[in-house]
Amino acid sequence: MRKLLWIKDSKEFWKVFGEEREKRRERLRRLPFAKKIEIVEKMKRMGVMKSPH
Amino acid sequence: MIKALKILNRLKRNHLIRDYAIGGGYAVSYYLEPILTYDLDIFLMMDTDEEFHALYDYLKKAGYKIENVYIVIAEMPVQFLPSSIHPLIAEAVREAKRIRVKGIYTKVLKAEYLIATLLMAFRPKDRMVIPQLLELADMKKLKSIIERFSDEKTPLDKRLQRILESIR
Repeated sequence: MRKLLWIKDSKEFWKVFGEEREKRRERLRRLPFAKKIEIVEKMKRMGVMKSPH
Repeated sequence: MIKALKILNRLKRNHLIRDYAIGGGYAVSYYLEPILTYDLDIFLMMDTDEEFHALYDYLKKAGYKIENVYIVIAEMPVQFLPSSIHPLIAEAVREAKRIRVKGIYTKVLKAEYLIATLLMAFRPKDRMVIPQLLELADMKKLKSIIERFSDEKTPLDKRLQRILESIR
C-alpha cells in the first residue's frame, strides 16, 4: 500500500489500489477460521459496527 | 463464539438439539475474508414448534438471557433458525460441512446452501456477499437447490437471476 503514496496519475492509483485490495482480501480469505473469528471479535470489541438490531 | 459452540455441542449431546450448522455472517467469514457480524446464526434440525419451544424453555430456565430474537450464549447473541421455518434448512444442516475450530467439532453450511439461505433473507448485506460466494459454488448443485426450494413466497430463482444479471 505504501507505493500508492507515490503515484501521481489517478488512473494508475485506482488500478494499484484495486490490485492491492484484492491481494489483501485473498490473504484474509486464506486465514484459518479460528483466526478469522478472532478478527471478527476484535472488530466487534473495537465497536466498529453498531448492532443493526 | 468458541464458548457458544461448546454449549451448542453440549445441547446436542443432551438431545435438546438434533443437529445444527453455522450460517449467516460467521459462515460467510469462513469462506471469504472476515466480515463484521453482530450475531451467530444457527440453523437447527428441528421439525416442530414444540421442539423449538422446549429448547427455548430449557435455555430460559438455565438462565440464558433472551434479547429480542436472540438467546445470549456465552456473551454471543445467537439466533436459532429451525428447519420448521423452511424445508431448505433441514437439507442445509444435513449436508453441512464438518469442521474443527480450536479443537471444537462443528458444522458450517456448504457454500451453495449458504447462498440459498442468503437469498431467502435477501437483505442488502446478504446481496453484497453473494457474488463472491458464487465464485466458490458448484453452480449445478446451487441451481438444483434453487429449483427445489423456490416458491412464490421465497422466489430464490428470481433473486439469483437478479444477482447474476448484476454481475454480468
